[in-house]
Amino acid sequence: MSDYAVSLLVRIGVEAFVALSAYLLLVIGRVSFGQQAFFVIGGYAAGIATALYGAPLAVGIMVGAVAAGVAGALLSAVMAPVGGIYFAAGSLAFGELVRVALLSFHYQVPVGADLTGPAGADGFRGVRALFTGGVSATAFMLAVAGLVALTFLAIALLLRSRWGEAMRMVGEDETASASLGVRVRRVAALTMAGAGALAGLGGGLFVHYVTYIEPGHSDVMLGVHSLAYAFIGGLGTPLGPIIGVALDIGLLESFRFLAGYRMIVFGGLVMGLLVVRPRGLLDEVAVHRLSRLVAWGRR
Amino acid sequence: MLSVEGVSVRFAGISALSSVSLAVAAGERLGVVGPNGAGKTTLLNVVAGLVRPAAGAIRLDGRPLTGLAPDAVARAGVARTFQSPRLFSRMTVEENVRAGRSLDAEPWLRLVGLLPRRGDLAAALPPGEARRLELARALAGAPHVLLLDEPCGGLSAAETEDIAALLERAVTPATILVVVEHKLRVISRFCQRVAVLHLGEKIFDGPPTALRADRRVLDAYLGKARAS
Amino acid sequence: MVDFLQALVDGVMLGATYSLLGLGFTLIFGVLRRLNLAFGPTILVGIYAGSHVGLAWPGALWAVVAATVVAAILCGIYVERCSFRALARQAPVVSMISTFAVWMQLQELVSLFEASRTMPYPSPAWLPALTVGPILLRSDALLMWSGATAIMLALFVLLYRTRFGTAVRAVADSSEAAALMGVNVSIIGAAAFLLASTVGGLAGVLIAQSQQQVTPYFGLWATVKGLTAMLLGGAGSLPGAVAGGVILGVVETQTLWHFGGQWRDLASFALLFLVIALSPRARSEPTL
Repeated sequence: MSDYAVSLLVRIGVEAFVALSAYLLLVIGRVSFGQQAFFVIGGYAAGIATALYGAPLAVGIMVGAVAAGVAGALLSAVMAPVGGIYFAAGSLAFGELVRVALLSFHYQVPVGADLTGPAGADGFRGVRALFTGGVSATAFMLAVAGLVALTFLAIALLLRSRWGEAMRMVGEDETASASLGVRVRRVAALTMAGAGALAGLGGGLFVHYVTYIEPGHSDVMLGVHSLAYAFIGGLGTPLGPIIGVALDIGLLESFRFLAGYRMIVFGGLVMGLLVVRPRGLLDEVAVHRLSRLVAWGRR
Repeated sequence: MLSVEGVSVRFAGISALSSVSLAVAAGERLGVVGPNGAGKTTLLNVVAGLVRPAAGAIRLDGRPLTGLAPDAVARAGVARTFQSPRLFSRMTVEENVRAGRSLDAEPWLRLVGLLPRRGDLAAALPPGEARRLELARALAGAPHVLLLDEPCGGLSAAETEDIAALLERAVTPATILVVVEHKLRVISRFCQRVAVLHLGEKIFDGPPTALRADRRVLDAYLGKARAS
Repeated sequence: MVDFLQALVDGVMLGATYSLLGLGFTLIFGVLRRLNLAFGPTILVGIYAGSHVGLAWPGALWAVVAATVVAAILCGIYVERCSFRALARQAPVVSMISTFAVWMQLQELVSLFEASRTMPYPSPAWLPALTVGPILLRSDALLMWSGATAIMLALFVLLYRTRFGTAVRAVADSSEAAALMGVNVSIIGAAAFLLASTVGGLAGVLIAQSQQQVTPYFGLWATVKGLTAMLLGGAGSLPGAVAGGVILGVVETQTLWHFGGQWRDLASFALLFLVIALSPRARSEPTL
């Protein structure tokens, strides 16, 4: 497999985590423009764990996910009871808050002959655990693909469970959910923590693949794209956001003649799709029909 | 025993309920009637914890419900339906009955005659079936208190009869039932007691048979209904 | 004490432009009950158009102003067509997502025409600075404040003293009631959008002449400032948006003076958070 194909697949995998993160919040009816913040928090924490404290790659990536999950839980203290445009505005502000805060985040320790660690606006360079560990790019790509598949499965099972039922209820009607005994705030808080951890997992994978991360990676456009992916692929299944990522990065980005116009084409695609299918290609109705078809086929 | 003790509710300074008191015993079925804007739905909302009373208290078997969040009230054994059914339209009929609780939806679906539609999305149901589904959802938690907000609203005479018959079968002797209803016929069919609200005040509380003889009710409610 | 006063004066002057951005947001949100997050980026396109005109015809300030406002209005019309009119039957949140898709497009549009990441924007250099006692009033800040105040006065006369304004406020109050009274709700919606774009374009001129340059980051910046001003003012109140903008401006300049530049943005985001955490309205807001 060519290097380009491998790097494309890694990027699809990494962004799939941020897209799934935004998707989880959409399930409980919250539109977040700030999941990029958890991506970056996860990246920084994972990098610090491996590059500064010599943690093994897998441990480092776990640390990133946990740190971002904790950040999500902390944010939920303010945002869990909040809905609608207020949640959207607050998450947008949080994404920018993290970016600005990282601009003045210095935490460097001597590793070997050099100082390594986050250096404010210059970012965090020299996260080399992937290469010193002797993991090949192809092996890493396969690991990322495996993790995406596992995460997809886990979310699909979660959404079918009692817990997932409560999440989907909250996403549709909080008052009716509460009147059936659902602890709306707790559902929202746990979902925010889980969504944070997912984006953080993506960040941990990303920082080790490209060996650096900087405040600018908490770009609002990453959060917006992640949101758009779910709205393209569809909100009826966690496959939706993954399809969205694959469509954007795999298809649009590989069309060379679109260079310079990609965001215009992509933005137009999203706008048009919202008019025709406001909940994406694989919305709840489509997924329901498909599952009927499958069940009928089995008979 | 569900007791509402001197409950007052104000919205932006306007009084929606003023010092309403009611006590409903287990097994009792109370109908609440009154013209539009009398405070019927507000009364249900206040019991369900959706609206905080400005004064007064609500108790269930002596335990205070006032100030609890709606989900805590629900877990204390209070179930309700809404004036226009609030189903989870993107979930299946069966998921709507289960609603995140660990219970078997099948007997409840059978009870309301929706077992054949268990796999359909709730959005696909016509109004009559939507009412029955919401009722099944409220009954499925085996609630101690059942609050029904116009369970026959917008239904045909035959569908109204269906719901009434369903309630006869489903409500256990231990349930406290409070039904808000526009149609006096429905109320007198299965409620032993009727409370009449008018402009946020309780103006009558007694058996349905005494209703037509009450001067204040005739003036406030039936009189207005005749005029319109 | 002088520092405090100086920062207060600077804050009020800066805040006046935030008030304008907040008014633009409020006009759209109040009338349509939908959030236009592409509001900042539409102004960004306007400023870039103005910048290009300024480079082509140095000295033609009126042409720069006209190009800025006209481009902002054209982008506003595009947003109204694609994200609001086409989605009128969908949930309000769908419009909000759509405006972000437009945002992507406008951001890329700007980068297609930009010569460099930072573009110059002309300012009227002949205006003198004023000193009142120990307080310095910079000419660009003075222009920003007086311009914004004049626009706000004109806007309030339009909204509170004309039949059109009464119709706009009636729709904002209750579109059903306004429709029953014979107001054409969809025309008023489009008009409010046009008005907001005009106000946004003029705010863009005032801000850009003060900063004398513009980067693609301005779109996000303007959206966050306007959104904060609107939410601080209670989401829907026009006088509230004015007050919200001034509060935001003062908080920013005070933190800038006392703690330094990197704290300024942190303070403004913290302020937005505080509003969301404390607003009872945020908690009763329906979700998707």
